[in-house]
Amino acid sequence: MANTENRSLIRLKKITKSYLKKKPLFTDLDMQVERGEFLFLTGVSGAGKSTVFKLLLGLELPDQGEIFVNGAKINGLSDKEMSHHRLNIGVVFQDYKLLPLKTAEENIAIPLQIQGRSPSYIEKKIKQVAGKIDIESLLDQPIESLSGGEQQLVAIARASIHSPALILADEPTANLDQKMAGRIITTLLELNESGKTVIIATHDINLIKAHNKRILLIKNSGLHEVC
Amino acid sequence: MLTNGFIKASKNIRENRSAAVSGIITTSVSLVILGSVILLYINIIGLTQSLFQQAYYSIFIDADTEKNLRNNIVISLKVLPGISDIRIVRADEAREELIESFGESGTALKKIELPPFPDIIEFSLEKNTILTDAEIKKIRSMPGVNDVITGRETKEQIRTFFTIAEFVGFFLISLLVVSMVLMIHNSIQLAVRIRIGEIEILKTLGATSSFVRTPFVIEGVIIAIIGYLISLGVIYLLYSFVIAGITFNEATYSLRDIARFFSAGQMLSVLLFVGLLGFFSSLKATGKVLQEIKT
Repeated sequence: MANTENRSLIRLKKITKSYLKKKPLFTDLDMQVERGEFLFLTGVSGAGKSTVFKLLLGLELPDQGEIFVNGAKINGLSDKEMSHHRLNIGVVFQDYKLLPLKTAEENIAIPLQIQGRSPSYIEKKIKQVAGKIDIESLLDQPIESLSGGEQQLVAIARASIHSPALILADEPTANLDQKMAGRIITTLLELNESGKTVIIATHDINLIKAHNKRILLIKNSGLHEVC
Repeated sequence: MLTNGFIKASKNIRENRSAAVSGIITTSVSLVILGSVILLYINIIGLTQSLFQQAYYSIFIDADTEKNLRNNIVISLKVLPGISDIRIVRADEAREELIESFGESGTALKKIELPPFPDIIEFSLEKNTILTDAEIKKIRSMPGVNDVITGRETKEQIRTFFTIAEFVGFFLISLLVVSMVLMIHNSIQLAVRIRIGEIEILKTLGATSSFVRTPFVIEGVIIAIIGYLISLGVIYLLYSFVIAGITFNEATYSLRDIARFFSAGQMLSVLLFVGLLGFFSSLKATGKVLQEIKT
């Protein structure tokens, strides 16, 4: 990783991204997120909220521009470097993306297994994280037997167990009732209070209004700060 | 990493039972078909070789031939190249042997008035040694010799038939090997491909390609080996059943000594081949999936 930029946790510089021959999703998009921030990324459906996350994870490549996460440029990383980069990010998806045939515990353990941690360390960490999120009773349950809200809590536990600096949550409260959505946001706020940077992509205006946090709006192929 | 991969692979097989079972069944069925054909082939070849291992001849002696003339015939036979066994069968012994060869039904023959049997000198020559026409003519001209039975023509025809069968069999087995390899390869690939979503999630969470690949590759090897062991058991049962079925009477009992199952070396070689097939099939499938998801 030769190119580094140390100031911000995330820095997107003049990003242009388009799919196939369609009109570009972003043109010269700039974005900066500092360590420890909690912010909402919003915009209409199809505006490109998920694409920003994919770019940050290295799942998509920009047509033009540079992306720096944690000071390191992520364009053109090797397989090993990309693995290291992704392990520094916890991801929560709208559709949870849990392995359905495994138990909650086995799903939560995945990032630590990738890191090559010992079984005893993994067991200790799972208990610790499950205690914080209050999902101890779900640990031995198969994912298929859990409700949507419970699955999302398991996904948050998986996203945070390896203590990443950044947590990306893509529409984490969609399809959930208000009570469960509140619990999910509270959990993410607690993670932010413990020092993690949290970005939530959502088009739920009520959710954004309910919290006095920084808002970034994707509109007309660009990113706008909303006061 | 390998131990972890093995544990994960075993777990994956249990969790994705239907895909694993389908891979194991396809592998087993393919190998049962292929193994049965190969076993049949090697036994036919073995049988042919044992049939032509020695060439048998019978010399019919005139009824009134004196003992010293018979001894002269035997002495002149002993100088033939490749001669391995000379036996004089008296007329009453020949009759007994004929009756015995019919087993239980032979008792009926005892009651029948059979034409008189000549005394016979039987001898055999080692493999690839056949008497020439001149040699047979010479034996026929010896005093006391009534006739010489060689059965050479029939043997030549059978030999030609089996030589052709050997080539055709080899060709068909080669085709079968190719199609079975493709079938096993595709079934293992399918077992990997249906879990493309799982691979995508693992990559998104930060797994390296080797972390994703290892359990899948071990899984492919396990599926292939389990399929092989099952097929080996099935083929052995079929073999035992067929051998027991065709050697139930005295006439065919000697086939038990000729018939043979795969040797330990052959079984180990196929085990290695099938294991490698599982390894490369799953390696290729995982590689393709990783390339497709481009993460």
